Amino acid sequence: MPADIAFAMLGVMTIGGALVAVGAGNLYRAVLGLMLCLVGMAGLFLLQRADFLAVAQVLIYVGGVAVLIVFAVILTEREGEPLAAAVNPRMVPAALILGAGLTAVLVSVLWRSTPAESPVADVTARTLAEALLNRYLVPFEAVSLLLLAALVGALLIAKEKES
Amino acid sequence: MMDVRSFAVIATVVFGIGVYGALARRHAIAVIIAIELMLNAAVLNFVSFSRLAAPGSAVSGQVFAVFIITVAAAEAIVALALVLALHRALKTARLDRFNMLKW
Repeated sequence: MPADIAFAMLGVMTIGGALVAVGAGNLYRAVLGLMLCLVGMAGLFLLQRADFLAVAQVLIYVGGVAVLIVFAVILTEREGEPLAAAVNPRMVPAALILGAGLTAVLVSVLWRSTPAESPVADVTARTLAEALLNRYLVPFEAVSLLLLAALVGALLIAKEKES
Repeated sequence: MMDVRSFAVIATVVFGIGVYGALARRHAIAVIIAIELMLNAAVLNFVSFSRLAAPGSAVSGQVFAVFIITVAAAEAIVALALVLALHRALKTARLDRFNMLKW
């Protein structure tokens, strides 16, 4: 089954990218791992026929947020402070227990559940647009206001103070 | 193999990796990367579970996913601006050096 092969490859890509994003000492490598994970996620969206979301994911995350993070890494990089001091050794045991434990509990619960037999609904970009502009119009406008506020706030925070 | 469970398992694993990264990493930008991982795992869950909904309401899951992506972008912008401002004030972006509120 081609879909199964694609699913397995995308799953490996997503989880491997996430591991690189969290494990790499070099921050540039971590951002590349994040990009890999996000592209894999976009592929998983495509497998579920959420094509608009897949495109939006690539445009916004891989094209926007990841590049923004790269710029932040460039701006905060300094000589004499190696980026290799990746993890805080005192936090590693607690973080490992929490992350692995949470994953183990949730996966075991999921694995014991029976998959639901339900009509699988396809959502096209057209139905998504109709929902966004009719039923969800007010949240849609509110979120655009939020974006504007975040943009202005970020400019205000990051601006050089005049002395 | 390709039912909702397998997608949910992938989302769970990515979320767990993100939890580990957000807690253990020392650099502020690395923590932001881990938070983005967690948000994206949530988006994947919304997308995959919305396919089980009745055909009329299946679109809601994807609408939620769109909102999460938007809010995550706004969050990333503000967080990176904060990191830049802190870096200008303290000359470092390491979280264990941000101890101005400790006494």
